[in-house]
Amino acid sequence: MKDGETVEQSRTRKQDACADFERELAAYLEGEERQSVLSHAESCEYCRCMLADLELIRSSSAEYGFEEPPARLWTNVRATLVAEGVIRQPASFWRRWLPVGGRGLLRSPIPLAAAATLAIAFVIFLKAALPFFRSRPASSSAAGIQPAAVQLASASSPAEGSASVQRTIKALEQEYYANAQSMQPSLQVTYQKSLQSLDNEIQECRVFSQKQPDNALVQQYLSNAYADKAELLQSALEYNLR
Amino acid sequence: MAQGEGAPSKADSESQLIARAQRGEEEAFAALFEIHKRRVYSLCLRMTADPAEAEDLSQEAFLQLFRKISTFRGESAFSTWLHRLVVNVVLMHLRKKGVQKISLDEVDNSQAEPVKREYGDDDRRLLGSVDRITLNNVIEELPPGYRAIFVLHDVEGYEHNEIARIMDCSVGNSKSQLHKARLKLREALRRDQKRLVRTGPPGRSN
Repeated sequence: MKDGETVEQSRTRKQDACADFERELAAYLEGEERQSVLSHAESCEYCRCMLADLELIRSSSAEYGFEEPPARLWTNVRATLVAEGVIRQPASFWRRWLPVGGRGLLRSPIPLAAAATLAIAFVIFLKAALPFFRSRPASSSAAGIQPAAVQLASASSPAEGSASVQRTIKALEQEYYANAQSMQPSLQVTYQKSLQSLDNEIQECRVFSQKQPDNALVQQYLSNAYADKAELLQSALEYNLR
Repeated sequence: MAQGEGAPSKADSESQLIARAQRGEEEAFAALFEIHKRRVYSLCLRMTADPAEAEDLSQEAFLQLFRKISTFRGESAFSTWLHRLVVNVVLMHLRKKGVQKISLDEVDNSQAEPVKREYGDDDRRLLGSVDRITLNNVIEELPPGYRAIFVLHDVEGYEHNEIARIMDCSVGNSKSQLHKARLKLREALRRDQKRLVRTGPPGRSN
């Protein structure tokens, strides 16, 4: 209390100073020069606490960081964009050489005759070679891999399912790493990060699963993570084969 | 300006990616997705506090973005354009869910309102630090309009002029809404803290 001041006057002066502080506080927190805020905070405990709290909220929020979305997000976005034609698929071999509308080989009789000869030669070759191919065992190449979702769904028991899923993923993974070098570097990084994130998720679920083997929710999460990984690998392989 | 995380960091490389995406090139879409996915998903997550909803909304936002990318002419920063779209998708979703709409055009009276003072309170200051889970819970309590501005500014690091463009409001409005949001968060944090002091931490109540 200042000399000659009544209790009421002192209280009014303090309330006015607090009101000034509150008016200037937002601007001060925005980084503007407000010396009155700091000087008032030194003398008023309530306002000092408020300033400290708001600075704490601001600094804690800035440390929040970003969350990684599930790996399937890109798979789903991409699939929709491809279906809608927003992502343009590279033209296939046949479309490039035999376009509808009369451009390309079909416009001129000479290339057309050459193409017809080639087609006949190919049919003759196919007839001769077919018995040989039929006698060979099924290839394990990516083109021959059954869709992961079909394989995952075909398991009849949980134990069989787990082993079957892991076999499918292993096969897909081998195929993926065998072809990864030929992938666009930026796309490879995207897929690699997503795979890493899913592997972490699977590892986390496995640890929980060992601790709580009867927890159905953990099993469900694990199963979902495996399915996501299979779907992601399949998407990468499909992309690379185009 | 808040930068997208990861490479490429330069605006010219992003504009090249946008130009390639406008031609329908998949690698460009994938690269743009990679640059912005964490920021977009995090914004949706902070706004909804539900990972499944955040995933659906991120997907919707990216689909809308890529469908409209051919109309992007570069008048504003790409990330501002993207975040405006994300905020619209999220707010539209919250409105559909019946969450009370907070108009950002309302006159802000917060400066005129005195802060509720509880003199004589012993535990006036928040303890030491605020952990992520606690902060998450109280952000969820904020009305959507405040929440969007708080998340964009204090969590995602956007400036008020960018937020004004994203949220279609004035810079002053963005500043005052942010201050109100922080005061509301403080109130909620102190309330939780008092509750914790009274009942003890979870698991020690009996």
